[in-house]
Amino acid sequence: MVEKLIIAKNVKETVSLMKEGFQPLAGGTEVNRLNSTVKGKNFVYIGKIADLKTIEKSILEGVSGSYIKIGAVCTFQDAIENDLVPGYLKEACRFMSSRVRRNMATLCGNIAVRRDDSYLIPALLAADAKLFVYSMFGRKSVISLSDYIFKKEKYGSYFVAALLVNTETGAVSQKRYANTASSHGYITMAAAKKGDMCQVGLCVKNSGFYVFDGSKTPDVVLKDDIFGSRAYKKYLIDVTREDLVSSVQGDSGCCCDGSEKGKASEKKSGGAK
Amino acid sequence: MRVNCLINGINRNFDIEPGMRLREMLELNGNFCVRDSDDCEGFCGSDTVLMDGVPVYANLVLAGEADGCEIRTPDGLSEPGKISIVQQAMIDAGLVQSAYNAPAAALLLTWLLETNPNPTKEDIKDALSGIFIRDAGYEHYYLAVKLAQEKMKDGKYSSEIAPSFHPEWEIVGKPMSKIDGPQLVKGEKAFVEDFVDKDSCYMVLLRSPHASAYINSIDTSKAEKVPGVVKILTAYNTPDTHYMQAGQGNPEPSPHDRALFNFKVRHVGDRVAAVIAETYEAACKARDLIKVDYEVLPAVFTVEEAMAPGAPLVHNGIVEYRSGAPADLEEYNKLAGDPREGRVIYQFPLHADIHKNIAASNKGEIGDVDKAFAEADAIVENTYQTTQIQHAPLEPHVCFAKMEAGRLVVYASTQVPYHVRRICGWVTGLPENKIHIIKTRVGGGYGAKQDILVEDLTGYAAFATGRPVYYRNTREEEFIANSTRHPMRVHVKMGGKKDGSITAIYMEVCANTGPFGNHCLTVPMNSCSKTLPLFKCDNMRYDLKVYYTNTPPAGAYQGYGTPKGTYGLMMAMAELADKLGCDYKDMVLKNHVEEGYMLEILKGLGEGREGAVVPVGSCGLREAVLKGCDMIHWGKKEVSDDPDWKIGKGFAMIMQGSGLPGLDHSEAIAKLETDGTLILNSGGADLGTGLDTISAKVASEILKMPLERITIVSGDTDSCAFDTGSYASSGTFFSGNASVASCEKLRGMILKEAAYQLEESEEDLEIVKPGAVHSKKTGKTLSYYEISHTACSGGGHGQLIAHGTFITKASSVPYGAHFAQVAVNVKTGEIKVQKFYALQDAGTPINPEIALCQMYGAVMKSIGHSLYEDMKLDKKGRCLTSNMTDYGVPMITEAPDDFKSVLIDVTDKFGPFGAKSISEIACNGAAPAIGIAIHDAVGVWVRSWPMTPEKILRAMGKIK
Repeated sequence: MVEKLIIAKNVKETVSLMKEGFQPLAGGTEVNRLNSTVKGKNFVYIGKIADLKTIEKSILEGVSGSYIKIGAVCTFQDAIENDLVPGYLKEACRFMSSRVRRNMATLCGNIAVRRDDSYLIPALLAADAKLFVYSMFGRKSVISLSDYIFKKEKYGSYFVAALLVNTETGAVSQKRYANTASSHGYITMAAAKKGDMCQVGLCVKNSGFYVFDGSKTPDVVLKDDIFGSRAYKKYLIDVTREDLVSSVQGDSGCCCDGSEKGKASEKKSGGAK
Repeated sequence: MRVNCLINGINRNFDIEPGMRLREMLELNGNFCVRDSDDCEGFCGSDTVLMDGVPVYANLVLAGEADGCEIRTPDGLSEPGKISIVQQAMIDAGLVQSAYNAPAAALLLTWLLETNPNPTKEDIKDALSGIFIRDAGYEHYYLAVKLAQEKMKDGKYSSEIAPSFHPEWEIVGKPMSKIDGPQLVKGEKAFVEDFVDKDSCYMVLLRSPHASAYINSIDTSKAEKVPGVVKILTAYNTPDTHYMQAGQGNPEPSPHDRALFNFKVRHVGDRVAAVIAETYEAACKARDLIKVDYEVLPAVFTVEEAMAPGAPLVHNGIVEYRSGAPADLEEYNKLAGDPREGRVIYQFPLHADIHKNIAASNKGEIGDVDKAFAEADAIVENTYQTTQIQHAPLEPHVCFAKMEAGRLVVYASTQVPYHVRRICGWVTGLPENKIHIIKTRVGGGYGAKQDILVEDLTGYAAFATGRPVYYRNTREEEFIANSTRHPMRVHVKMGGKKDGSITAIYMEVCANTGPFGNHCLTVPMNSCSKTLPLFKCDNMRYDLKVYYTNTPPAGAYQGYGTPKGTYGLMMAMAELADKLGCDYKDMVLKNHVEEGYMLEILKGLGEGREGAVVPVGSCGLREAVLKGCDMIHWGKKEVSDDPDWKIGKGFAMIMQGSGLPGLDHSEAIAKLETDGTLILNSGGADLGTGLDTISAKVASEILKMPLERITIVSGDTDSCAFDTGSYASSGTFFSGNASVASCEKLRGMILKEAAYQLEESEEDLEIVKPGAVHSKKTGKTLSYYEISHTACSGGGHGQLIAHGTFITKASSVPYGAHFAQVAVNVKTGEIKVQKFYALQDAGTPINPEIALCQMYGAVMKSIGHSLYEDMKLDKKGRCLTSNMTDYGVPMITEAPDDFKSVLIDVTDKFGPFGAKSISEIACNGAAPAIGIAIHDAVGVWVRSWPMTPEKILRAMGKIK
């Protein structure tokens, strides 16, 4: 039950309110949703902060390569419609099947709630994405998405002001398994070419996140649940890793310039015309 | 906090609580057509609005976020008295049926065409990707967009909407606008929630956390002290009247095995207490303060557990019979357990045995089955399992009841208003003349609203408190405390000869009815009675048993048990064809029934009484099979360009019924008003399927008067005459025939009165358009206005009112064949339904465009049931999939790429203007067609619903 709602004018006010225990609210598809995992009574709405609405090229101090900066209130649909956004990220955004929800849900919000059925996190982990964050004391920094996900105790309270995606990432291939397009994904996996190697990002519903070298599947703690048995999930993870790694090593994944060389989505819908 | 925004172009200011959602604020503003179907899940899309020109879910937006924004809602799409092009196109395409979120769909299509005047199919799919349509499917949305584009460009439609039937008729069999379409698509007041009084109390229920437990005590003392609490109802202060929630006939072929509240809870979600309070918040707060002491008992969840020796008993109380009691009943009742078990009362014997958890049973056979099996060249014998499925109507179960001038008035979203009245009468003790049921528009039924699941208690609460009471299920309650599709285990043994002829069929059906016996005999009986008569086979045996368990309750669901029986029988037939080395199509053509074939098997399948052996009537089955095989290129192997994907084809014969001959009963009253217009009072309950439009169209055709001069009042127990209700595909056939009967009688009365007024002979007169009587002899014409005015002006015979009744022993059976082409990924087990063709003989489709949409909707439902919809329970009987996302329903993304519904042109001898039923039968074909296609693709038989990727991989030996 929301007891206080403040419409923030800028990031500074947001961070200051977060320090007082307010939680940021952007698209609302997680916070306002039935059975939301976001607990709290006081919220600061950031949807009207103009600085957070942009998608632009960005050069990071002390970090090599060029990046695209996607502001905290940019929605999935904004990303899909923006020419700067890499193809693999657009493809990940399209995993959210509902256009209406895509109009509302923000990329940073999806990352911030760290859902283990995330549409985006596997691809972004594979592609070494970064985040532009503010600490509760207002200190700005750039951290890796991997740190944000796996070091929750350290970064759990940080405000994610922007997502930073490297424009020089090699081919990325990904796959999401769900009962229907609108159901929660139970396995989402992405592989990205990293030099001669391949990096894989994985999230498994009720098990969590993993990032690993694509040559071997790590030990994933799996559970029998409404989505299927452990044996089924283990099998899927193995065959999907092989498929995706082979796909990016053959350079047939999605490239960061937005063009889609990948065949993953075609395979998903069946080959016959 | 203060919110200033523009709503449909008008500046509005609100002082709101910070937690208020945009939908709630819009409701306060009168935009009640922005509805809630999913308790803020952001799934169904009934709450879609445009915020600064972008579609959003209003339930997921806090009202405070809308400050300074421009909001458009569906009711702003057209001015009062007018209708927008998109809204009209949706009606004309047949899409506006139960229509709970039709206004939201119209808003989305409007937004699409405003932002993209020439959308592709993918664009339309994308625009509708966030809205769940359960009734009419998605296919005609592409047509609606096309029609709207044509109207915008040329001022008229150039595309064909649907085929027309019977050129000799002007109205019947032609696509025409559904008469309640404008009201529904524009979002005018239509549903129960739109008629709730401002001073109404709210009722919420405390539900059992246990699958089986006795109630030792209930302490409501703290709850009663919550300000605003009016009354708390429990088993301790409500009548011990045993009844049945199934709205089906009277006496029902279902046991009376429950009271309003019981001292034993029998499933997680069972009723424990009801709190009636002046606000919803007070009711919830009080509910949380009720203390219940339970004695938890062991439970059973599957038929296997229920039939095991020594299994915990779901019912173990005193058994009574209203007729046909067995001689040893007294001895039987000595085994009864704790008094808190309550009673089970049978209206007549159902061959039940509660001490073995058997709620009902039946068996029978024709011919010499054992001998026929012995003579077979090959036999297959397998078991096919189906799971528990939810109807998932967009409008949950909802009721508003109040006492008015000593009478109980109930606003109900129901398929069976007269059964609602009967059961409200039983629980309150009021006679039927003191109860008025007003059936509103129904926002999705599919059988779920054939059961009286909330009206009994809401009606009683209003009666007991004297206050108006409003109740609405949460979405979770829809899953755990409603009726659902019975899980079944269908065991089939089938024998055949090398020439493809079937020698014998044996079918054993074990159904799980949950804790109560709603429709417990008829649903599994339909597994046999609506499947075995497809086969020209002289040796058939069936044996069905229905078990009580502690799962969420089961009940009526579109198709009853037929989809499950069809799945078992058609899969077995395909397996037999495979074993015999026959082509499946040839085997189907060799063994299906044809017109005139005597259906001996029906003798024992009569809904608890002796069935009637009748010949097959009008039958378009062969044409459906042959045409479908041509369409899908049966016999041609399709090859994917991706080696991981294999393609297969399958099909299934299907049948259903058109109501229950000898049991169902419909009435209609046609009144010629003093200005010559017509009000037709139909007892039938239109649940969105167009029954009122059928009544209007047959009246128009018979009386040769324009549709706009006809008004249908239906499902109102005060103004209409008795009708058993809309279920078992009875609407068109029974209620439609009653409308025909009343209008034909009225036509006779009009001619008689005109003859009197003209001083001519009736034989010289004829009815002519647009509602007049013409003398072939004198050339004189009297309009209906003149006839009726004179008749009611002191010099005539009074108002012309005709009462029509329809009952019959005749059986009009719809037939069809459904075809699927699937692609299966051999690595991952994923399945994609690429093509689906539904071909059905519905007799004369009176509303062809609505009929097609119902076929699309029912098929989509069945594809969902076959592939992913599944209520999963944990070991304690708690439902793990009690919201839309976890449960999984088909959205537009799941629709087959190539999807066609085809109406086979057959005219039935008994149906109104030759019509038979349409939508129920359309639930029957998907599971076997897909199952057979999966086998064709990858060589494995998946013998249980849902046919998941994991099951395919296991069958292929890829997972141990």
